[in-house]
Amino acid sequence: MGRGPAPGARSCSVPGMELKVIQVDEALTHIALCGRLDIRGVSEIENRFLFTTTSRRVPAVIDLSEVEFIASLGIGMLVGAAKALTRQGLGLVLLVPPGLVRETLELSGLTRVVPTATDMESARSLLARS
Amino acid sequence: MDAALDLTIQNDLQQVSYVAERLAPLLESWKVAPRTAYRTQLVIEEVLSNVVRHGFPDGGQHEISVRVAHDGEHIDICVQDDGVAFDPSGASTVDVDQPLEQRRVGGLGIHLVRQFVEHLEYQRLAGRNDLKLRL
Repeated sequence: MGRGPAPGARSCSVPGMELKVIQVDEALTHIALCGRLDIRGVSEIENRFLFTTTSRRVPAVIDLSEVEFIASLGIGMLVGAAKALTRQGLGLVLLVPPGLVRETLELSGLTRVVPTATDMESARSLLARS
Repeated sequence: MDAALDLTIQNDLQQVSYVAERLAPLLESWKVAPRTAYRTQLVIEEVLSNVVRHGFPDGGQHEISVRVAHDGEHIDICVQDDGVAFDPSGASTVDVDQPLEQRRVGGLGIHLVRQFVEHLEYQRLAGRNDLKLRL
């Protein structure tokens, strides 16, 4: 689970949408999503996602590298988390590589209001500046 | 022309997911470009979920018919339903420049559809919405 996937491989360990907790401590919430953020995927994880990212009053990094597809419901879920953290004065960074998911996030305008990075080091730098 | 997907579903979000499941292997068999396949799936999900969630404020069971066809060059989608009249081409646009705190959670689906399709044609025919989309 801790090792990265082979290029192009899907490393989700369960069918459907998966939420992996990478780091949860007093400094950061770092989670990774894996699968499809469509109607079914969002319904599977939305409550746990919002609770994990927004209830602990620490900044968050959400890794979308293994998200294969995102529709407006999935984008809405990310907006919900970003708004909740912003209200608490906390930062959120999306880890999202170039590709169709990133392209969709760009067209939605989300990347104009939520910082994005392509690696964890850059994400930490962005949070430190926020 | 390759086989098309022809389905009639109920106004139920689970059935929208069923359409997505049926569509994925068909897109693969058509060997369309990954970006086209992705956009087709997104357009179908957004259009159908919009009809299911907003088309029938009085409830009840309704049928929505959906057809997706490939002519070797384009993907053509036709969605028909007897819900309240809704013309996606005339829907108010989402302001993607809005600051985060002013953004609504949701409301982006039709915006993305309009970004992704090459052609959109809407008609209200005999009390039914008739939406044709081309990618």
